[in-house]
Amino acid sequence: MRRVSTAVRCGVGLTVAALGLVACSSGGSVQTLDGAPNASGSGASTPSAGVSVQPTAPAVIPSGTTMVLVLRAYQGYWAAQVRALDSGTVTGSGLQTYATGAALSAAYSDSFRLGQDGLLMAGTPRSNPQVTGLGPEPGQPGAQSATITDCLDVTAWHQIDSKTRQLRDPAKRLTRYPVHVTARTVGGVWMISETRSETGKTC
Amino acid sequence: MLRSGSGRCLAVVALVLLAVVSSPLWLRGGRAAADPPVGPCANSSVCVGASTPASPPSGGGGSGGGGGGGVQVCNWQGVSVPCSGPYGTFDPADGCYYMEAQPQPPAGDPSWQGHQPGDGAVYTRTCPYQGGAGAANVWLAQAPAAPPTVTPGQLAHQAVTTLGLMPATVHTRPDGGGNKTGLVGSPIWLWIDGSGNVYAKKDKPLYATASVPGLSVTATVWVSKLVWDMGDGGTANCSGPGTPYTDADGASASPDCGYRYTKPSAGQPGQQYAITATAHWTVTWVSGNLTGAFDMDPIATPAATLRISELQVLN
Repeated sequence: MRRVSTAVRCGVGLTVAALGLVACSSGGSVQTLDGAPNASGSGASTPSAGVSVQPTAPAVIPSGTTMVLVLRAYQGYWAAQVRALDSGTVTGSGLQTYATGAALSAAYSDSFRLGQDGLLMAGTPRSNPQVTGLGPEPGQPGAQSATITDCLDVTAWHQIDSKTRQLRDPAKRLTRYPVHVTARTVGGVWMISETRSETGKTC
Repeated sequence: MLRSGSGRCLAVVALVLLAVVSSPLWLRGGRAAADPPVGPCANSSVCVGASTPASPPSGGGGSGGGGGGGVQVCNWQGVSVPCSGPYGTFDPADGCYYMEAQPQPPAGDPSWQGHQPGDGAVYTRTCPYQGGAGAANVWLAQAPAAPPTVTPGQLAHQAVTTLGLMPATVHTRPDGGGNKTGLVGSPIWLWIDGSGNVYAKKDKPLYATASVPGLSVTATVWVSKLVWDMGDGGTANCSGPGTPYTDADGASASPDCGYRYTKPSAGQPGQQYAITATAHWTVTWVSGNLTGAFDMDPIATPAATLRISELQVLN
């Protein structure tokens, strides 16, 4: 196995700053699939007669670059959760930007229950994700899917009372545990589609 | 131990958080301090392995964003629950909320379940009274029946869904194909295009209306900013869709949306930078003499890639 450092770095822009810890902390390394570069990136270039007219179909993207995009969606998903659950407002949080299906509605359910209980979240989780698999989405021409394994650390992410801001964490929670994540492309955009927490062990 | 990609950044954000959440309980030292009150299991991410049970549904619930005004109450297994909110419209048949996906996935996406765009719509189903289980994207021939009353803000959300906002296509110059490698320090042009509603300027916004008996809303919708993630940790914030490059532009920089890399892409996975953009849509609405505004979830684009090399001096 070859390991390639991605060095997803803490950027300067407003957006990246707003992503907070997750964007900054989840650099880590990415495992590439053995000898399986998805694309050559060479040879298949388009003729350059009319420069302003460009192909609408995106060029084939190397697997290493695809992993960067998968992790970008994952970071966006967590940043959106932090934003939504910290403010109590999912609208505009970006959850729909980075999540679909079960992952999206799980985040909505969390937001709903927190609101129902008069709680918000404070702080932020830390993550250390690795792309563990990448390939075509079965039965979906042109679509791709990926798997991510993360060790999520929620030590510094707390339920708080939305009025008094007192801690209201559940008892005896696991603060660090493995998370198995599925991502897929929706119209060429990477989105997190499902997350599954391993409840029985830490990491 | 988890590694941190950028300790300095972590520290800064942590400080900000501490400033915001300046409860003395944050200073608790292990178990010596008085234990904080135990809370319910509300956020599944902090409830893994917890001994606290999930919070049961209770009346009122879900303060959520979006509308404002009074919350219409529906009934689920004998408990009063909100009929609608930021998670969509409540369906008393299954106790779930249904929200039309925004943007709608393209034709052929599995969430269409074999149907074609235009035939019904794809909804995000959220079932918070059932532990969140069974939630997914689902296709519905028609939306769940609207609750007897909606707030103007909720109606504005419905109006926006009729616009069919779409992800844009990103373009760069150099364009990353074949021999068109960009150089460190040289201007990169950035722009988007696409068919359908992929962008609207504030001075030329989109309009959408929706009405129910006794209530009508007009929403004005535009992109307040277009944020480009350039793949090197930097972003470009553009107030417009950018200007397409033409040969006549030569080596000049984009007048309104551009970027310059400071490092080559050789160290990146795939030896290229991955470039994506997010369009941040803003909505203002008017209903009679009431007005409101909200930001939508940004809409992300598929990626472009770009190879950037060190500048070589040629004599």
